[in-house]
Amino acid sequence: MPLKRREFLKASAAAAAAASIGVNLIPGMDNKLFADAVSWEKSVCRFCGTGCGVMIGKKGDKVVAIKGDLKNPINKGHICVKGFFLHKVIYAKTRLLYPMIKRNGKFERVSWDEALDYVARRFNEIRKTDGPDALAFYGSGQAETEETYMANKLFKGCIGTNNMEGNPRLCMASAVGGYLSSLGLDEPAGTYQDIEHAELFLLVGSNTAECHPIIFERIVRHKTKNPTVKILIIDPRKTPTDQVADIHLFPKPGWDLAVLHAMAHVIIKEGYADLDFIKNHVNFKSNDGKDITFEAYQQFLEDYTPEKAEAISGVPAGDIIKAARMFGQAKTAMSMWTMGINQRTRGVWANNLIHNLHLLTGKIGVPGSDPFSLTGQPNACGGVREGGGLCHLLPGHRKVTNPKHREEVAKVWGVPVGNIQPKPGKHTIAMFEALNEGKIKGIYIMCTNPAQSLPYAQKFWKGLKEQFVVLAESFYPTATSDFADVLLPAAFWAEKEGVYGCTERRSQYMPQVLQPMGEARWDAWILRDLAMRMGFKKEFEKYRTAEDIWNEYISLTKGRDMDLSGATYARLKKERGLVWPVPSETHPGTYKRYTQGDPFFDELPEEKKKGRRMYFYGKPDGKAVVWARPAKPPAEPTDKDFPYALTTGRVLEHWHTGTMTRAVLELARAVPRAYVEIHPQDARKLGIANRDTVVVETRRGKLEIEARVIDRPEPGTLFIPWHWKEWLANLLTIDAFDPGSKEPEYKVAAARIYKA
Amino acid sequence: MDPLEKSITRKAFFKEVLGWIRQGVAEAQAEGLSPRAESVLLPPGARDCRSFLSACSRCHACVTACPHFALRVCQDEASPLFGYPMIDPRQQACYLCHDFPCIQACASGALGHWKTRFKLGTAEFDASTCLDEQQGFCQTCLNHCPHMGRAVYRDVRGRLTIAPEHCTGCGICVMVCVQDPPAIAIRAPAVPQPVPEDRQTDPSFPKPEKREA
Ligand code: SF4
Repeated sequence: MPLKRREFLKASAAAAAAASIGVNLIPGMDNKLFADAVSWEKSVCRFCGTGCGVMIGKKGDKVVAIKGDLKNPINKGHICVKGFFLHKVIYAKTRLLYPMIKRNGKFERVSWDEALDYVARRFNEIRKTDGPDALAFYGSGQAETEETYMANKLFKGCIGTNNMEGNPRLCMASAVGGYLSSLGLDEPAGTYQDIEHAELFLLVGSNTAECHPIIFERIVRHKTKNPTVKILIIDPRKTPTDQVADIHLFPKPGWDLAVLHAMAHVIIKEGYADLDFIKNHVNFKSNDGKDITFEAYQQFLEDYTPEKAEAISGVPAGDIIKAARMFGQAKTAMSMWTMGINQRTRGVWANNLIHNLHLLTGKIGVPGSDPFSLTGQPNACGGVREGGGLCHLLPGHRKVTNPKHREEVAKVWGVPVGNIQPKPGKHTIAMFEALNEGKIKGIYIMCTNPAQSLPYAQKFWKGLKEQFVVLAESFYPTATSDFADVLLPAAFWAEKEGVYGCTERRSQYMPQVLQPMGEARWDAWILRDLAMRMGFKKEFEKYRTAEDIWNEYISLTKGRDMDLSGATYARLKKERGLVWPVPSETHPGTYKRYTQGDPFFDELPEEKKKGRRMYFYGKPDGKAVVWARPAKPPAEPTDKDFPYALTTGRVLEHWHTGTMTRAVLELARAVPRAYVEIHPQDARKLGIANRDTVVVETRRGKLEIEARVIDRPEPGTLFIPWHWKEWLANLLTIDAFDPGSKEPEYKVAAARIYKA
Repeated sequence: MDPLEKSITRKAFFKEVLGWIRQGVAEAQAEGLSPRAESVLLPPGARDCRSFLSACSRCHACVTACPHFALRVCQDEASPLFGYPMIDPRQQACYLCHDFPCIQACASGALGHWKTRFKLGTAEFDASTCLDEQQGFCQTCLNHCPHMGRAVYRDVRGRLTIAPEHCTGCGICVMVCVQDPPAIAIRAPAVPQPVPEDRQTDPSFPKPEKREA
């Protein structure tokens, strides 16, 4: 029977889609193409912090499809569009295939030996003439734990500088600060399992539908099954997440701290506080760290009545009261937040205020209740927070300032303890400033794109241009490769094995199913070979397989709060990840921390546990802290000259600086270029029509960009997604940072906008 | 004065030339990716295919007027619209400008006045190819819909659903769909239906003043 072209196309597309997700949609059609030729192997999605399990479909020596892993408890077979097109990223035309050195302003292809010798020689020169602190490393929350571990050892342990940072500084640092100061230890107490038990979701500063799609899907599924579930959103912008919202509060960007305080105020006033829980589990502290009483805290909250919060934040007092009552009345509540809270000059404080709500109402430590921070990157939790990839950390949630920690790590690394400096190195912004000033002369950048992703990016181009920059990347060109002196091709996802640790403390194994493309090599081996050429043969020659590195790393986590010592490769290969603490090879992993079922809680002596359902063992007396933080405005509030508040963010179809997703035609066509969202009221005032070219200007830069007149941002607010280097949103953002977490304030800048 | 000189202003000329270039780029981008969408749409304000074909003088003033290069001349010889202006939403969807320059530019009356403007159609999912129906999570169409949450929304079962009373048929969803061919298409209404007045791309723009013919 002849098929019409349209029907044929439809049928073949359906077949492809069906086959790639493993179902046979068309009855009677035997699916020869995929059914027997494709072998599937489990892995983890390369993109967001959700950490979905995917199946890599391989035919011959090519990856032909990606489908969701039905057995994975995170996503149960569902994946989002980005994950669905992951296999096309591997074969992107923009893959970097061989090492290159810049000579006379042009990149020339060289051999690996030449490239590595050159880098080793230059780094050693710098180290000799200017000291180890003239070198730096800038890594990524998308690198595998093994890769970050190797870099950590090379820079902190062997070269002897703590100038080792990663892009999680730009995304998770405030959440770390929040967890440490409120609960005592980093990372959430709960897991995704809480979603199915929660009665209320508080989404603050998170566009979950676009940035953590599968978590959002789980929330939606939960809500559709249980229509009484309430969803409360606090965000200055209306987003696709709103479809399921019961109430949405729109604070002015950067002024939401008062709203959270006012909610706490109403919760205590109206008797929703869990006084028993407070008595046994909570300390109160003022902003300067002094202990205060519950009464003094209430006194402090008198400054934040809903009416006063309305005056500060622009959210109607009635809405705040309604939201607070919803939170108080719900039996269980789960808060989720991301960059809207973290990327702020008061990010840590904002984090504290969310924890406050949970601690005051005792909505923590029971199924369905948790202050649960969503991580942006797939391995920011695993590699960088746990693996110690920041300037003040060492592997296993350790600190460089702690002599005992330095000793433990130095012993395993096989380096003299004196090599590890006791002082934290330079945090990201300070590091790139030092590069500008010439205090840092050489930098190794791995798996990230700072020339595009740093706030006020153009300010830091000077340093990148002038100093010696080595970039290990899978893609070329990127914004950063323009500034690099040496380019090292790195193997991409599926071309290397390793472990990713996602938002819910789950570490998952990814197999190698392909040979690296071109001459690309695994980042960890690039670092190993570089280290050996720099003269650290003894320390690095012992690593032969990825498992060697992993085993050494998990031996370092033994006995730490994030104990992964039971998570061996053999187990991880079989299981769909393990949620730490996993103190032994027979331990199944831990669902809830600080409470029954947590091995560290169970081990505690009885007298400590008496009368308590939770023990925050990161704090000296096991009590979490409710902080009385004042509500501070953003670093750059709007004013007469710059009357609009500019916020930046992401879209569903793209990932960060777009080096991966923009190479996939399907995703590129969905959102081909950047735009600025402006409210119709503002647009009318300024005579801006939909799709006009406009100029958005801040005190730091200007950007010509297409206008999208739409009622998503509130009047007075602008929004730009930041995935494009051609329309670089970070020319506009501010480099002011949180004094505690050193995380910059991407989310609020004062701007003006006019027609081009 | 030379009639040619009069009819083409400098701006219009550049617009047209730019249009060719952009169209070329769009086509090159779509090459190997998208078979041209089969469903093309009549320009906004056209009543139905029959009356449009009989009234349109093929002066292409609307094509020149379209600021978004959504209106093009149909190049498909097999199509009844060959030589007439049309919208191929896969290439470039219609933004339903608040002042409808295409309708204003139309002298032949083929495109009606704004009060009798007709919606372009209604979007319809193809559940067999839609990624969201296939254990995926995708809501590119919803994210980009100017009437997000109204024209397309997740229903009580969490499934993507279209509300025909709110959908204008602008085709933005067809343009952005990540499936190939798109898993969403615009069906032209059998009986022409007016666009609800508050359902322009930009919902809060004031209604345009009535213009003298
Ligand atoms: S939700 Fe995140 S982890 Fe899951 S498939 Fe999408 S991008 Fe990948």
